[in-house]
Amino acid sequence: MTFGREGPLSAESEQELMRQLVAGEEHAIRTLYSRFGRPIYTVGLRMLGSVEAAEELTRDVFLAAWRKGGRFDSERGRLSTWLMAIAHNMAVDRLRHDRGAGRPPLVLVEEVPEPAPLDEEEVLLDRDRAQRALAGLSAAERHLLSQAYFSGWTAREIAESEGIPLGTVKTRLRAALIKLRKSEAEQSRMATRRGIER
Amino acid sequence: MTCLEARDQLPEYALGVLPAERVRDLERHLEGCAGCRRETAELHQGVETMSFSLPQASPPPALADRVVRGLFEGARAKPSQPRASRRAVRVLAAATLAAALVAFGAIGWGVAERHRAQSINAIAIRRIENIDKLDTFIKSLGGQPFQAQLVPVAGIESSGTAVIVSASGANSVVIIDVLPLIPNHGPYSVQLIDRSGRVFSLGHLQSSTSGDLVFVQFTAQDLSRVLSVTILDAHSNVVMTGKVAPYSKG
Repeated sequence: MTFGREGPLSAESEQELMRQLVAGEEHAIRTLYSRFGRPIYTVGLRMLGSVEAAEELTRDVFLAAWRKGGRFDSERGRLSTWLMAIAHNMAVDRLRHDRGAGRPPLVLVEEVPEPAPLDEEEVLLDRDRAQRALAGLSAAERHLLSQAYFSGWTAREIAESEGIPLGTVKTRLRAALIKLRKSEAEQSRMATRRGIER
Repeated sequence: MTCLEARDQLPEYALGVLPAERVRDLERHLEGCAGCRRETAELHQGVETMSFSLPQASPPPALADRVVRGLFEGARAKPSQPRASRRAVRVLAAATLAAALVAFGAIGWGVAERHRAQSINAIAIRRIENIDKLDTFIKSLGGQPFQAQLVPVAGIESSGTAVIVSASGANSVVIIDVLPLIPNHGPYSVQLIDRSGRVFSLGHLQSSTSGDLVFVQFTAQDLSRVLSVTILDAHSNVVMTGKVAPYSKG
């Protein structure tokens, strides 16, 4: 089975791609990189702040994907979700490790520097959908989510920093993530419907 | 851990900020709870959306090659230095294991004998000796022999060898011998992947009295197109892997 470097993959194809990755097939590594290298690198750059750290993170994420590939189960979730979770978890670990006891300045979504625009339609569509989903969050949800996602703060750290109950922080984080998922899923459904009708 | 306790921690878990000491307990709960796994998957999708909301950066064009190289180097990284002298001897351990089968009369196993595979393997494992008989054993199967040098991934110390013979009937066999893995996250299972991406999930490595981990399994499967041999730990992480090449004596 061969894989295109663009367009969605079926669950079966994602499972197959991971099997080939675990087998050390170079074309599988390159396919995976061509699909997810950029968003993984972006997470590294935005969270860790340097090209070197972003490159190192990207390499390590693919190595981890290969090592953990046997655990990937397409019935439990999409490959992109699985990979981006690995990438974000690794970035948070590094952020917290480098930071030690100190805390970095808060980076809000809207404060992330804008790089040169890209012309790939699919990347733009992904980002457009994600930003629409983010726009559906309340200011409080967006604020708390940014602290956890970009700064790697625990719920307790956020609660202490904001002076609000721990339970409230957890509730808002959960609500924010569920809203993002629902919004993104709804937009994907609508995009698919538009594609069918066209 | 109850589902209520688990779900209280899931948002932090999905965001990668749950303190490490609580992650293990939570993951243990998730293994056995489909409902909480579903919730985790939904929260992870929310995290993914955050990732895609970022203005996408352009990685350096050469990064793709560095990723590929890094992966191959990672697979070969950190062979066991202090144990290198043992490795030279043990690399032939699979051959000795096969020879032990020969010595035990395993050639041309009939159906009845195969039913006793476990006990025969156990006995064979205790009788690792007589390297020179491996070729005889392979030839007796009348099939195509392959081998794979198994190398540990970064952070793992071990070395090992796999011998695969693809033969007609139920005479195909997979024989593996590896040094004890450090750190140990067993039990370890064996997986073969062939050129069409088909995965053969085989059984587990067993401890031999010599301390090595060994594996012997006869099968009726066509193993002629196997591409790689992978050893997975108890959490299904790849800990050793090797590409299959034609068999060469010694």
